[in-house]
Amino acid sequence: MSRPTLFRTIDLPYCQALMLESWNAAPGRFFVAYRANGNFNALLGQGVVDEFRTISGPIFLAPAESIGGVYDAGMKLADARDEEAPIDQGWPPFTIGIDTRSPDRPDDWQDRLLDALKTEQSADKPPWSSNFSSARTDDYIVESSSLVSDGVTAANILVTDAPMLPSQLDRLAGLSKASISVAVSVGNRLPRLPGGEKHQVDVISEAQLDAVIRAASSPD
Amino acid sequence: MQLGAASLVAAEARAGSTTIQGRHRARDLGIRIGRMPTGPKNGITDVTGVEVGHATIIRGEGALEIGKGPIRTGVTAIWPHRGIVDEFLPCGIDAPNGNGELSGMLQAKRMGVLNSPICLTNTSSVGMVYDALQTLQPKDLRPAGTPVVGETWDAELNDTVGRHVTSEHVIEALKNANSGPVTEGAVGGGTGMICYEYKGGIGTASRLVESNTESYTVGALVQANHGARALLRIDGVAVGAELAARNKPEISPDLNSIIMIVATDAPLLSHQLDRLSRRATHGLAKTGSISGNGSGDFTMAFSTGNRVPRDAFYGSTAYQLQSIEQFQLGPYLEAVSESIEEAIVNALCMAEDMTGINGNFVPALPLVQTIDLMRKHGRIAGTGHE
Repeated sequence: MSRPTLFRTIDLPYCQALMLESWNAAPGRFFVAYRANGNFNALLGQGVVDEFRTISGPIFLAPAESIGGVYDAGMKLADARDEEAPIDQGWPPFTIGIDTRSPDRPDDWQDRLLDALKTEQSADKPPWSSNFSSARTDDYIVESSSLVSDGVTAANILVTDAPMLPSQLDRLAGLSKASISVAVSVGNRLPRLPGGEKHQVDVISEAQLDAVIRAASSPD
Repeated sequence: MQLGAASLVAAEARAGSTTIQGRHRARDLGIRIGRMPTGPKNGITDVTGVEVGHATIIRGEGALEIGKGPIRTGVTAIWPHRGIVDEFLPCGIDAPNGNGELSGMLQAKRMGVLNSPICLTNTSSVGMVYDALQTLQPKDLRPAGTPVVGETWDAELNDTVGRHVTSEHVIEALKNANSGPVTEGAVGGGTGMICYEYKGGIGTASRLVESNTESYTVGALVQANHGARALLRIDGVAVGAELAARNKPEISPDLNSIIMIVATDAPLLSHQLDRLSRRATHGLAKTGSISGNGSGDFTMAFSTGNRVPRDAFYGSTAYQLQSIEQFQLGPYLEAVSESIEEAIVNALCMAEDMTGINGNFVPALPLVQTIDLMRKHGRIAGTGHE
């Protein structure tokens, strides 16, 4: 079975984290989009994504009834990077709730989660199954992690190295019928720039976007 | 703050003169909104490449005869740049209350680009103007661009159902467009518009965003047809409430609409322009609008600082854009708010009295009384702004 190359998955019994880069990477952001379907409403960290259309730090997935605690752990991770909580150092933790019962958590579960994120070491699986798939265009890779809980596709996370703007990622995220679909492009990493400097942002053409969408719709 | 080129108008007002000849922009009356410097023309055409033109149709008087008039309408055309159908610009949108029409929003949202001139007109003429703009698009196998047409409702003064705007008017407005100072008030698409129950229409303003190394311009143009008089505020002064008591309006339009166009030469991406678009509402609100339930309030913002050739957009390889760092966008957000606020006030200050269908009369904002109120509240330059 193939493994993701654009992100790493850290599994714990009560949480799963998709890491796009190491927990203490230099300040930087990636463009992101999401689409929620049906009555999905368990999401934290939404405001910054809606306003700035970027993400930094892991994408957290947890049983819906425990996303507050997982978000708090994500805040602690961000605090360890910069207590000012800038949006390019892991704040706010983008935390997605999965409709399933939360397993019992040990007293030190947050510490275990933080250790796992810092060392990138998984423990037991969370109470859902994750299906990884990968597809290629002539130029780019599209990888996805699909979370199935109680027979329902609860979340679909797409990560691509195609350099895509948020409006293009909106179209990618809109493909999935999962309760929530997230699309991230690691094709542009926006570092924090000194005053006056500008980001040089690569953008795929419409034809390339069509290819990415076809690939995402028909993974290997 | 510097008084700047204090006009004869402002000087007369400070001296207690009771007469002001003609109509004058807010700054020429001594009203200075915000704290940022303006561009040389204090208008959207301060953004290099942007051109604005009007086609104004004023014919007939008396009782409404649908199809005949009286006619008080027109078209205002904005070229983001002359080659827009072949060289797209990033754009963003917002709709604080969507009971109206601004075509091209879906393209802006999903593709993030503008590839048409922008035209503003009356509600009934949207389809006609859209049709005329479609003829400008390239005819080849690639997708055609999406015309951008915004509207507000001018039926208090105009035979809007008679559909007097034709494709010739659209072409006239596009041809008239130039990069000089924008004619404001009851012109073009703004001809029959009513703002805070005074004569409204087209207004414009601009701000400079200056850093140690660079200077960019943010410009705004509005077609103002919104608001209840009692809510009107100018530079924080509740002008409308005080004027309403002594100058009862002849008609009471519903809380109508406004179209707000923002241009900048700063290199921004579409999602950043969405953010700028949202700040237009702050400027609108400072003039007293609450974006009423019946209003069609829309903003489109575009950047001339990034150009995407049509061949690249539909091509087979990636292209590159520039982007100002998000952390440095603050002054641009302020510039949008200030520009929109001043553009609305300029529309009010420049529009003249108008009588339209069925003898409906809409008074212009009374400048002398307004200045008196602004001076009373210490908001006219020379009495509290220095």
